[in-house]
Amino acid sequence: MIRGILSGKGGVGKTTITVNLGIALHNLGENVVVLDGDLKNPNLSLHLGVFKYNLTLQDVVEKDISHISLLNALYVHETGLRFIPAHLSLNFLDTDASKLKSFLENSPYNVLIDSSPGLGKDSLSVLECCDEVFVVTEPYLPDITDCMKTLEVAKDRDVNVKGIILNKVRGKDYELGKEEIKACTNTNVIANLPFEENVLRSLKLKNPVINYKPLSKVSLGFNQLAADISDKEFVKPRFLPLKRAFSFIQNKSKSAKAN
Amino acid sequence: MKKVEISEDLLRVKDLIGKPKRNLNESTILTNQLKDFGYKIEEIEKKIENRGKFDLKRIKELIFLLSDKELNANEVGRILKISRNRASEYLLKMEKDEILKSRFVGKKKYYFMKHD
Repeated sequence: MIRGILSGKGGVGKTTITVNLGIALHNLGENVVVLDGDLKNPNLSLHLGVFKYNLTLQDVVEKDISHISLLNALYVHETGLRFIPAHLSLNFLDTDASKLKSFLENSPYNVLIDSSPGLGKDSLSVLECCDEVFVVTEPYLPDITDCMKTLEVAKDRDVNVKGIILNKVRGKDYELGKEEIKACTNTNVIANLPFEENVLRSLKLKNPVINYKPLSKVSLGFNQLAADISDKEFVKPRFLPLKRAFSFIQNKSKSAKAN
Repeated sequence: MKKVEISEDLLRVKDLIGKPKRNLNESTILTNQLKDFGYKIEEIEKKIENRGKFDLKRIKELIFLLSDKELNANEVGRILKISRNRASEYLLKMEKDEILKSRFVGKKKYYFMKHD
């Protein structure tokens, strides 16, 4: 199964969602590999805290050598997540993303691809690889406009659109509502992930939020989404407020000791 | 059920976006080509009950593709630029609806048009 995380606009949180959803799926026992499909501006590896690799996605795709498969560029993060990074170098700007499809055929893994934003050649190439896609958006008019375009193109290309992932939701009255978005796009909103500073902190710490703050609302959102996708049941941890308070006190005392 | 109100801005934007042109043109051309080949498209459409996630345009493309040759799911996926799994779903559905027939060559299953 090849799943794609797409968006019409950049900066909506595709990579954050790909990484955290990947870990959540891995924790549920899915045989998942996360792949950085944004070959021009890859930053999946930055989220995972590793910058330099012996072999990357571009190396495999560009060299096109029969004995080198994508598995040669597969790495394992400390969380157990398997991932295929792309190189940050500008030398790889010309890498042809359309070659990706042939490498992904007959993959033994469930692949989760972090696509480039928009409807450029690279993201369309990713779209062609996918069995199903998720479109990420923020709840504002420009974002939803680009989201609608992406949905139309995906449907036109006969890719199964699993739903919209609404990200960075603040619950304010100036945001577009979940039901309104659903009605306008004729597409299910399958996740409503809240805006949280923990996500930004986790980025600085190069530790995915699901690992850094597993009890935070956004982390639970990722777990719920992963369970929905893989048809499994997600049981919310009991006594959440207590556990959160305990974890908060623990962190405080840790930082006090460190100082 | 409560009716959801969609803001005027969203509706205006939706209207401006429209549909990808490629779809309409190709679909019409395909239908005409298939009719030229002697296929009764209306009858085929009737055969495919519960189309659900299956796109009619894609079904027409498959008929066009398999009208004079035998292909397996991998080859169909590559030509139509869809995943092998998706191609396989279509082929199985069309076989079930008695539009296609299949035969095994080794481990691979090849599909072709069922001519009445």
